[in-house]
Amino acid sequence: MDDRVDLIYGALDVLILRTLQWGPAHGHGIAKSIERMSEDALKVEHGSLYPALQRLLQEGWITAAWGISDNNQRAKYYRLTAAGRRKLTAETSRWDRFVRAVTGVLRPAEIEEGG
Amino acid sequence: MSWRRTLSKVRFLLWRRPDDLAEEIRTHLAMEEAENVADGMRLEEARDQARRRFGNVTSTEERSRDMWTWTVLETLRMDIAYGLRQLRRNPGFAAVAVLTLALGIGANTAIFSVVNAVLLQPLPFSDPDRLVEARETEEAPGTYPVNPADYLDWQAQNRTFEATTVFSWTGNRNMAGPNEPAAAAVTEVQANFFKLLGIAPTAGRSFAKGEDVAGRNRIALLSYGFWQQHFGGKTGAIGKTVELDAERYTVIGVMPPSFHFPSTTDVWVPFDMNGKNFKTRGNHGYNVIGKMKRGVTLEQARQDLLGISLRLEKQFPDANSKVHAVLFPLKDRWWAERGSGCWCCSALWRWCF
Repeated sequence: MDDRVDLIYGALDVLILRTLQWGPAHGHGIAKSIERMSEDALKVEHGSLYPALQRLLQEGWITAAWGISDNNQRAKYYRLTAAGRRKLTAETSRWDRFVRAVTGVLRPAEIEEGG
Repeated sequence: MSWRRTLSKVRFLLWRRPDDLAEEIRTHLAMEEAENVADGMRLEEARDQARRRFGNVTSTEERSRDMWTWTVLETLRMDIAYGLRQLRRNPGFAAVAVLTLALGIGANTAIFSVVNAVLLQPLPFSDPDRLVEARETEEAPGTYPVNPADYLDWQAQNRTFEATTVFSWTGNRNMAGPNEPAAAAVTEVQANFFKLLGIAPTAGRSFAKGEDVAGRNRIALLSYGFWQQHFGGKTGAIGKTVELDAERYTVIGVMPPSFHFPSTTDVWVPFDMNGKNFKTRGNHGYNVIGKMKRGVTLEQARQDLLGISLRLEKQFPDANSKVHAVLFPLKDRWWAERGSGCWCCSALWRWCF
Protein backbone atom coordinates (compact mmCIF):
# COMPACT_ATOMS: atom_id res chain seq x y z
CA MET A 1 0.00 0.00 0.00
CA ASP A 2 1.17 3.50 -0.84
CA ASP A 3 1.00 5.56 2.35
CA ARG A 4 3.08 8.42 0.99
CA VAL A 5 1.49 11.86 1.23
CA ASP A 6 1.06 14.50 -1.45
CA LEU A 7 2.91 17.76 -0.97
CA ILE A 8 1.02 20.83 0.19
CA TYR A 9 1.24 23.60 -2.37
CA GLY A 10 4.36 25.67 -1.82
CA ALA A 11 6.07 23.06 0.31
CA LEU A 12 8.18 21.84 -2.59
CA ASP A 13 9.83 25.28 -2.89
CA VAL A 14 10.94 25.14 0.72
CA LEU A 15 12.17 21.57 0.37
CA ILE A 16 14.28 22.52 -2.64
CA LEU A 17 15.78 25.50 -0.83
CA ARG A 18 16.49 23.27 2.16
CA THR A 19 18.22 20.69 -0.04
CA LEU A 20 20.41 23.33 -1.60
CA GLN A 21 21.53 24.55 1.79
CA TRP A 22 24.25 21.88 1.72
CA GLY A 23 25.63 23.03 -1.59
CA PRO A 24 24.84 23.10 -5.31
CA ALA A 25 22.90 20.19 -6.78
CA HIS A 26 21.34 19.19 -10.08
CA GLY A 27 17.66 18.37 -10.56
CA HIS A 28 18.04 14.66 -10.13
CA GLY A 29 20.18 15.11 -7.04
CA ILE A 30 17.56 17.41 -5.50
CA ALA A 31 14.84 14.84 -6.15
CA LYS A 32 16.89 12.10 -4.55
CA SER A 33 17.76 14.27 -1.54
CA ILE A 34 14.13 15.06 -0.85
CA GLU A 35 13.21 11.41 -1.08
CA ARG A 36 16.07 10.46 1.22
CA MET A 37 15.40 13.19 3.77
CA SER A 38 11.72 12.35 4.03
CA GLU A 39 12.57 8.65 4.08
CA ASP A 40 10.38 8.24 1.01
CA ALA A 41 7.32 9.50 2.90
CA LEU A 42 6.75 12.38 0.49
CA LYS A 43 5.42 11.71 -2.96
CA VAL A 44 7.46 13.92 -5.27
CA GLU A 45 6.93 13.49 -8.97
CA HIS A 46 10.36 14.32 -10.32
CA GLY A 47 8.84 16.33 -13.17
CA SER A 48 7.16 18.72 -10.76
CA LEU A 49 10.62 19.83 -9.64
CA TYR A 50 11.39 21.68 -12.84
CA PRO A 51 8.54 24.22 -12.84
CA ALA A 52 9.36 24.84 -9.18
CA LEU A 53 13.05 25.41 -10.03
CA GLN A 54 12.07 27.92 -12.71
CA ARG A 55 9.87 29.71 -10.17
CA LEU A 56 12.74 29.90 -7.67
CA LEU A 57 15.11 31.16 -10.38
CA GLN A 58 12.64 33.94 -11.16
CA GLU A 59 12.39 34.94 -7.55
CA GLY A 60 16.16 35.16 -7.45
CA TRP A 61 16.38 32.63 -4.62
CA ILE A 62 18.59 30.26 -6.62
CA THR A 63 20.93 30.52 -9.61
CA ALA A 64 21.73 27.91 -12.22
CA ALA A 65 24.88 27.00 -14.16
CA TRP A 66 25.95 24.07 -16.27
CA GLY A 67 28.55 21.77 -14.73
CA ILE A 68 29.84 18.21 -14.85
CA SER A 69 28.31 15.56 -12.60
CA ASP A 70 30.16 12.88 -10.61
CA ASN A 71 29.82 10.42 -13.46
CA ASN A 72 31.00 12.90 -16.04
CA GLN A 73 27.62 14.00 -17.33
CA ARG A 74 26.77 17.55 -18.28
CA ALA A 75 24.15 18.72 -15.79
CA LYS A 76 22.64 21.97 -14.64
CA TYR A 77 23.55 22.78 -11.05
CA TYR A 78 21.35 24.95 -8.83
CA ARG A 79 22.83 27.05 -6.06
CA LEU A 80 21.19 28.94 -3.19
CA THR A 81 21.57 32.75 -3.26
CA ALA A 82 21.76 35.00 -0.21
CA ALA A 83 18.12 35.96 -0.81
CA GLY A 84 17.27 32.27 -1.03
CA ARG A 85 18.96 31.64 2.29
CA ARG A 86 16.93 34.42 3.94
CA LYS A 87 13.78 33.05 2.35
CA LEU A 88 14.51 29.59 3.73
CA THR A 89 14.94 30.92 7.26
CA ALA A 90 11.69 32.87 7.05
CA GLU A 91 9.81 29.95 5.52
CA THR A 92 11.12 27.50 8.09
CA SER A 93 9.85 29.54 11.02
CA ARG A 94 6.58 30.15 9.19
CA TRP A 95 6.26 26.44 8.62
CA ASP A 96 6.91 25.72 12.30
CA ARG A 97 4.17 28.12 13.32
CA PHE A 98 1.82 26.57 10.75
CA VAL A 99 2.47 23.06 12.02
CA ARG A 100 2.04 24.14 15.62
CA ALA A 101 -1.23 25.89 14.84
CA VAL A 102 -2.69 22.99 12.87
CA THR A 103 -1.57 20.52 15.47
CA GLY A 104 -3.14 22.66 18.19
CA VAL A 105 -6.44 22.58 16.40
CA LEU A 106 -6.36 18.87 15.63
CA ARG A 107 -5.27 17.55 19.03
CA PRO A 108 -8.44 18.27 21.09
CA ALA A 109 -10.50 16.44 18.47
CA GLU A 110 -8.28 13.44 18.98
CA ILE A 111 -8.80 13.57 22.74
CA GLU A 112 -12.58 13.87 22.36
CA GLU A 113 -12.66 10.91 20.05
CA GLY A 114 -10.36 8.96 22.32
CA GLY A 115 -12.38 9.86 25.41
CA MET B 1 6.40 41.83 -9.89
CA SER B 2 9.66 43.18 -8.70
CA TRP B 3 11.87 44.76 -11.32
CA ARG B 4 14.56 42.24 -10.56
CA ARG B 5 12.20 39.48 -11.60
CA THR B 6 11.24 41.41 -14.72
CA LEU B 7 14.92 41.78 -15.49
CA SER B 8 15.55 38.07 -15.05
CA LYS B 9 12.62 37.34 -17.36
CA VAL B 10 13.96 39.68 -20.00
CA ARG B 11 17.41 38.15 -19.71
CA PHE B 12 15.87 34.72 -19.98
CA LEU B 13 13.95 35.68 -23.11
CA LEU B 14 16.98 37.21 -24.74
CA TRP B 15 19.70 34.76 -23.82
CA ARG B 16 18.08 31.44 -23.09
CA ARG B 17 18.98 28.37 -25.11
CA PRO B 18 15.68 26.77 -26.09
CA ASP B 19 16.93 23.19 -25.70
CA ASP B 20 18.24 23.80 -22.18
CA LEU B 21 15.29 22.34 -20.40
CA ALA B 22 14.95 19.33 -22.71
CA GLU B 23 18.61 18.51 -22.16
CA GLU B 24 18.24 18.88 -18.43
CA ILE B 25 15.31 16.48 -18.39
CA ARG B 26 17.15 13.98 -20.60
CA THR B 27 20.07 14.05 -18.16
CA HIS B 28 17.71 13.57 -15.23
CA LEU B 29 16.09 10.52 -16.83
CA ALA B 30 19.48 9.05 -17.74
CA MET B 31 20.72 9.45 -14.15
CA GLU B 32 17.63 7.81 -12.70
CA GLU B 33 17.86 5.04 -15.24
CA ALA B 34 21.53 4.40 -14.40
CA GLU B 35 20.70 4.30 -10.71
CA ASN B 36 17.90 1.83 -11.31
CA VAL B 37 20.24 -0.36 -13.34
CA ALA B 38 22.77 -0.18 -10.53
CA ASP B 39 19.96 -1.33 -8.19
CA GLY B 40 19.72 -4.44 -10.35
CA MET B 41 16.86 -3.58 -12.75
CA ARG B 42 16.86 -4.64 -16.36
CA LEU B 43 17.50 -1.75 -18.76
CA GLU B 44 13.93 -1.60 -20.04
CA GLU B 45 12.46 -1.79 -16.58
CA ALA B 46 14.91 0.85 -15.37
CA ARG B 47 13.85 3.21 -18.16
CA ASP B 48 10.12 2.69 -17.49
CA GLN B 49 10.61 3.21 -13.79
CA ALA B 50 12.56 6.44 -14.40
CA ARG B 51 9.80 7.77 -16.63
CA ARG B 52 7.10 6.82 -14.15
CA ARG B 53 8.86 8.64 -11.36
CA PHE B 54 9.37 11.66 -13.52
CA GLY B 55 5.80 12.00 -14.80
CA ASN B 56 4.76 13.55 -18.07
CA VAL B 57 7.84 15.03 -19.76
CA THR B 58 6.02 17.26 -22.24
CA SER B 59 3.75 18.76 -19.62
CA THR B 60 6.73 19.33 -17.33
CA GLU B 61 8.49 21.21 -20.10
CA GLU B 62 5.41 23.24 -20.79
CA ARG B 63 4.77 24.07 -17.16
CA SER B 64 8.41 25.01 -16.64
CA ARG B 65 8.35 27.35 -19.62
CA ASP B 66 4.98 28.76 -18.53
CA MET B 67 6.67 29.77 -15.30
CA TRP B 68 8.07 32.52 -17.47
CA THR B 69 4.52 33.24 -18.55
CA TRP B 70 5.37 35.36 -21.46
CA THR B 71 3.89 33.13 -24.08
CA VAL B 72 2.36 36.14 -25.81
CA LEU B 73 5.68 37.92 -25.87
CA GLU B 74 7.35 34.75 -27.03
CA THR B 75 4.96 34.50 -29.97
CA LEU B 76 5.53 38.15 -30.71
CA ARG B 77 9.28 37.65 -30.62
CA MET B 78 8.98 34.81 -33.12
CA ASP B 79 6.70 36.87 -35.34
CA ILE B 80 9.13 39.77 -35.32
CA ALA B 81 12.08 37.49 -36.00
CA TYR B 82 10.17 35.92 -38.89
CA GLY B 83 9.20 39.34 -40.23
CA LEU B 84 12.78 40.58 -40.09
CA ARG B 85 14.04 37.47 -41.90
CA GLN B 86 11.46 37.98 -44.64
CA LEU B 87 12.33 41.66 -44.99
CA ARG B 88 16.03 40.90 -45.24
CA ARG B 89 15.33 38.33 -47.91
CA ASN B 90 13.31 40.82 -49.95
CA PRO B 91 14.72 44.37 -49.59
CA GLY B 92 12.54 45.81 -52.39
CA PHE B 93 9.40 44.72 -50.65
CA ALA B 94 10.85 45.96 -47.37
CA ALA B 95 11.43 49.41 -48.84
CA VAL B 96 7.89 49.61 -50.19
CA ALA B 97 6.46 48.42 -46.89
CA VAL B 98 8.44 50.97 -44.91
CA LEU B 99 7.51 53.75 -47.31
CA THR B 100 3.83 52.79 -47.17
CA LEU B 101 3.90 52.82 -43.40
CA ALA B 102 5.72 56.15 -43.35
CA LEU B 103 3.19 57.75 -45.69
CA GLY B 104 0.30 56.22 -43.81
CA ILE B 105 1.51 57.45 -40.47
CA GLY B 106 2.36 60.86 -41.91
CA ALA B 107 -1.04 61.28 -43.54
CA ASN B 108 -2.85 60.22 -40.40
CA THR B 109 -0.82 62.57 -38.27
CA ALA B 110 -1.50 65.45 -40.64
CA ILE B 111 -5.23 64.77 -40.77
CA PHE B 112 -5.42 64.36 -37.05
CA SER B 113 -3.62 67.66 -36.43
CA VAL B 114 -6.10 69.46 -38.66
CA VAL B 115 -9.15 67.69 -37.27
CA ASN B 116 -7.89 68.27 -33.76
CA ALA B 117 -7.35 71.98 -34.35
CA VAL B 118 -10.52 72.52 -36.34
CA LEU B 119 -13.11 70.21 -34.87
CA LEU B 120 -12.04 68.86 -31.53
CA GLN B 121 -10.57 71.83 -29.72
CA PRO B 122 -13.07 74.21 -28.22
CA LEU B 123 -13.22 77.73 -29.61
CA PRO B 124 -9.95 79.49 -28.87
CA PHE B 125 -11.84 82.29 -27.17
CA SER B 126 -12.61 82.89 -23.53
CA ASP B 127 -15.93 81.40 -22.29
CA PRO B 128 -16.69 79.80 -25.67
CA ASP B 129 -19.91 78.26 -24.38
CA ARG B 130 -21.44 81.66 -23.82
CA LEU B 131 -20.68 82.87 -27.35
CA VAL B 132 -23.51 82.83 -29.88
CA GLU B 133 -23.91 84.01 -33.41
CA ALA B 134 -27.07 86.02 -34.18
CA ARG B 135 -28.80 86.01 -37.55
CA GLU B 136 -32.17 87.21 -38.84
CA THR B 137 -35.06 85.61 -40.69
CA GLU B 138 -36.74 87.24 -43.68
CA GLU B 139 -39.92 86.78 -45.66
CA ALA B 140 -37.96 84.30 -47.75
CA PRO B 141 -37.02 81.04 -46.00
CA GLY B 142 -33.61 80.67 -44.38
CA THR B 143 -31.57 82.90 -42.10
CA TYR B 144 -29.51 85.93 -43.06
CA PRO B 145 -26.86 88.18 -41.63
CA VAL B 146 -28.06 91.01 -39.44
CA ASN B 147 -29.25 94.50 -40.30
CA PRO B 148 -26.91 97.00 -38.57
CA ALA B 149 -29.70 99.28 -37.36
CA ASP B 150 -31.51 96.28 -35.87
CA TYR B 151 -28.23 95.32 -34.26
CA LEU B 152 -27.90 98.69 -32.53
CA ASP B 153 -31.41 98.23 -31.10
CA TRP B 154 -30.55 94.74 -29.89
CA GLN B 155 -27.41 96.07 -28.29
CA ALA B 156 -29.27 98.86 -26.52
CA GLN B 157 -32.34 96.90 -25.42
CA ASN B 158 -31.28 93.30 -24.65
CA ARG B 159 -31.20 92.05 -21.07
CA THR B 160 -29.50 88.68 -21.55
CA PHE B 161 -26.12 89.59 -23.03
CA GLU B 162 -22.99 90.68 -21.25
CA ALA B 163 -21.83 92.21 -24.54
CA THR B 164 -22.48 92.05 -28.25
CA THR B 165 -20.23 92.90 -31.16
CA VAL B 166 -20.58 93.27 -34.90
CA PHE B 167 -18.15 92.76 -37.78
CA SER B 168 -18.23 92.99 -41.55
CA TRP B 169 -17.45 90.43 -44.23
CA THR B 170 -13.78 90.30 -45.07
CA GLY B 171 -12.88 92.22 -48.24
CA ASN B 172 -9.68 92.83 -50.15
CA ARG B 173 -8.17 96.29 -50.22
CA ASN B 174 -4.99 97.54 -51.82
CA MET B 175 -2.38 98.34 -49.28
CA ALA B 176 0.36 100.87 -49.86
CA GLY B 177 2.62 101.36 -46.93
CA PRO B 178 6.22 101.66 -45.96
CA ASN B 179 6.97 98.59 -48.08
CA GLU B 180 5.81 97.20 -51.40
CA PRO B 181 2.08 97.35 -52.27
CA ALA B 182 0.01 94.28 -51.39
CA ALA B 183 -3.52 92.98 -51.21
CA ALA B 184 -4.85 92.97 -47.67
CA ALA B 185 -7.96 91.12 -46.51
CA VAL B 186 -9.69 93.64 -44.26
CA THR B 187 -12.46 93.07 -41.73
CA GLU B 188 -14.25 95.98 -40.10
CA VAL B 189 -15.20 95.43 -36.48
CA GLN B 190 -16.85 97.14 -33.56
CA ALA B 191 -14.23 98.38 -31.07
CA ASN B 192 -15.18 95.76 -28.45
CA PHE B 193 -14.66 92.85 -30.90
CA PHE B 194 -11.41 91.53 -29.39
CA LYS B 195 -12.44 92.28 -25.82
CA LEU B 196 -15.60 90.20 -26.26
CA LEU B 197 -13.62 87.27 -27.67
CA GLY B 198 -11.08 87.63 -24.89
CA ILE B 199 -8.10 88.01 -27.22
CA ALA B 200 -5.32 90.52 -26.54
CA PRO B 201 -2.78 91.61 -29.16
CA THR B 202 0.68 90.08 -28.99
CA ALA B 203 2.26 93.51 -29.57
CA GLY B 204 0.87 97.00 -29.31
CA ARG B 205 -2.69 97.60 -28.14
CA SER B 206 -6.23 96.69 -29.10
CA PHE B 207 -9.06 99.00 -30.15
CA ALA B 208 -10.34 101.10 -27.26
CA LYS B 209 -13.91 102.07 -26.45
CA GLY B 210 -15.04 104.95 -28.64
CA GLU B 211 -12.48 104.35 -31.37
CA ASP B 212 -15.16 103.00 -33.70
CA VAL B 213 -16.48 106.38 -34.83
CA ALA B 214 -15.45 108.64 -37.70
CA GLY B 215 -12.44 110.74 -36.87
CA ARG B 216 -10.94 108.18 -34.49
CA ASN B 217 -11.23 104.97 -36.43
CA ARG B 218 -8.25 105.23 -38.81
CA ILE B 219 -6.29 102.66 -36.86
CA ALA B 220 -5.48 99.07 -37.74
CA LEU B 221 -4.50 95.77 -36.14
CA LEU B 222 -2.44 93.28 -38.17
CA SER B 223 -2.60 89.50 -38.21
CA TYR B 224 0.63 87.87 -37.11
CA GLY B 225 1.23 86.29 -40.52
CA PHE B 226 0.63 89.55 -42.37
CA TRP B 227 2.95 91.38 -39.97
CA GLN B 228 5.70 88.80 -40.56
CA GLN B 229 5.24 88.86 -44.30
CA HIS B 230 4.98 92.58 -44.94
CA PHE B 231 6.61 94.20 -41.94
CA GLY B 232 9.38 91.66 -41.31
CA GLY B 233 7.98 90.95 -37.86
CA LYS B 234 9.50 94.19 -36.57
CA THR B 235 7.92 95.98 -33.63
CA GLY B 236 8.77 99.16 -35.50
CA ALA B 237 5.67 98.41 -37.57
CA ILE B 238 3.55 99.77 -34.74
CA GLY B 239 2.92 103.43 -35.25
CA LYS B 240 3.61 103.19 -39.00
CA THR B 241 1.02 104.41 -41.42
CA VAL B 242 -0.48 102.15 -44.07
CA GLU B 243 -2.84 103.08 -46.87
CA LEU B 244 -5.81 100.84 -47.45
CA ASP B 245 -7.58 101.78 -50.68
CA ALA B 246 -5.97 105.21 -50.35
CA GLU B 247 -7.20 105.82 -46.81
CA ARG B 248 -4.52 106.21 -44.20
CA TYR B 249 -4.51 104.03 -41.07
CA THR B 250 -2.06 103.86 -38.19
CA VAL B 251 -0.94 100.38 -37.14
CA ILE B 252 -1.54 100.03 -33.39
CA GLY B 253 -0.93 96.35 -32.78
CA VAL B 254 -0.41 92.78 -33.91
CA MET B 255 -2.67 89.84 -33.04
CA PRO B 256 -1.28 86.52 -31.77
CA PRO B 257 -0.24 83.87 -34.33
CA SER B 258 -3.06 81.58 -33.25
CA PHE B 259 -5.79 84.14 -33.85
CA HIS B 260 -7.59 83.81 -37.17
CA PHE B 261 -11.09 85.19 -36.95
CA PRO B 262 -12.68 85.69 -39.37
CA SER B 263 -10.30 83.16 -40.78
CA THR B 264 -8.67 84.94 -43.72
CA THR B 265 -8.31 88.40 -42.17
CA ASP B 266 -4.99 90.24 -42.57
CA VAL B 267 -6.05 93.59 -41.12
CA TRP B 268 -8.81 94.57 -38.69
CA VAL B 269 -10.07 98.17 -38.67
CA PRO B 270 -12.89 99.77 -36.64
CA PHE B 271 -16.29 100.62 -38.10
CA ASP B 272 -17.80 104.05 -38.01
CA MET B 273 -20.67 103.04 -35.75
CA ASN B 274 -22.35 106.42 -36.39
CA GLY B 275 -22.13 105.99 -40.15
CA LYS B 276 -25.01 105.97 -42.59
CA ASN B 277 -24.95 102.17 -42.85
CA PHE B 278 -25.92 101.79 -39.23
CA LYS B 279 -29.07 103.83 -39.76
CA THR B 280 -30.58 101.99 -42.73
CA ARG B 281 -33.08 99.15 -42.21
CA GLY B 282 -34.04 96.45 -44.65
CA ASN B 283 -30.61 95.21 -45.70
CA HIS B 284 -28.73 92.32 -44.10
CA GLY B 285 -24.98 92.27 -44.23
CA TYR B 286 -23.40 92.21 -40.80
CA ASN B 287 -22.13 89.44 -38.59
CA VAL B 288 -23.12 89.59 -34.95
CA ILE B 289 -21.67 87.73 -31.99
CA GLY B 290 -23.11 87.93 -28.51
CA LYS B 291 -21.69 86.86 -25.19
CA MET B 292 -24.57 85.70 -23.01
CA LYS B 293 -24.60 86.62 -19.35
CA ARG B 294 -23.53 83.82 -17.03
CA GLY B 295 -26.40 81.39 -16.42
CA VAL B 296 -28.47 82.55 -19.40
CA THR B 297 -29.57 79.79 -21.75
CA LEU B 298 -29.60 80.00 -25.53
CA GLU B 299 -33.41 79.89 -25.45
CA GLN B 300 -33.69 82.76 -22.96
CA ALA B 301 -31.35 84.86 -25.09
CA ARG B 302 -33.32 83.99 -28.21
CA GLN B 303 -36.63 85.01 -26.57
CA ASP B 304 -35.04 88.25 -25.43
CA LEU B 305 -33.87 89.25 -28.93
CA LEU B 306 -37.08 87.96 -30.50
CA GLY B 307 -39.07 90.31 -28.23
CA ILE B 308 -37.02 93.24 -29.54
CA SER B 309 -37.43 91.98 -33.12
CA LEU B 310 -41.23 91.86 -32.73
CA ARG B 311 -41.31 95.44 -31.44
CA LEU B 312 -39.16 96.54 -34.38
CA GLU B 313 -41.45 94.65 -36.75
CA LYS B 314 -44.40 96.72 -35.48
CA GLN B 315 -42.38 99.91 -35.60
CA PHE B 316 -41.04 99.34 -39.14
CA PRO B 317 -43.64 97.09 -40.79
CA ASP B 318 -42.17 97.52 -44.27
CA ALA B 319 -38.46 96.98 -43.66
CA ASN B 320 -38.80 94.51 -40.81
CA SER B 321 -41.66 92.27 -41.90
CA LYS B 322 -40.90 88.76 -40.59
CA VAL B 323 -37.39 89.88 -39.58
CA HIS B 324 -36.76 87.94 -36.36
CA ALA B 325 -33.57 87.22 -34.47
CA VAL B 326 -32.24 83.65 -34.38
CA LEU B 327 -29.22 82.40 -32.44
CA PHE B 328 -26.66 79.66 -32.98
CA PRO B 329 -23.80 78.54 -30.77
CA LEU B 330 -20.70 80.21 -32.19
CA LYS B 331 -18.84 76.91 -32.44
CA ASP B 332 -21.26 75.80 -35.18
CA ARG B 333 -20.23 78.75 -37.31
CA TRP B 334 -16.58 78.22 -36.43
CA TRP B 335 -16.70 74.65 -37.64
CA ALA B 336 -18.54 75.55 -40.80
CA GLU B 337 -16.09 78.33 -41.62
CA ARG B 338 -12.91 76.47 -40.77
CA GLY B 339 -14.20 73.17 -42.12
CA SER B 340 -14.92 74.58 -45.56
CA GLY B 341 -11.28 75.61 -45.81
CA CYS B 342 -10.16 72.02 -45.96
CA TRP B 343 -11.83 69.39 -48.07
CA CYS B 344 -10.90 66.47 -45.88
CA CYS B 345 -12.44 68.17 -42.90
CA SER B 346 -15.62 69.13 -44.64
CA ALA B 347 -15.90 65.59 -45.95
CA LEU B 348 -15.34 64.29 -42.46
CA TRP B 349 -17.73 66.85 -41.08
CA ARG B 350 -20.48 65.78 -43.45
CA TRP B 351 -19.79 62.17 -42.66
CA CYS B 352 -19.90 62.71 -38.92
CA PHE B 353 -22.90 65.00 -38.66
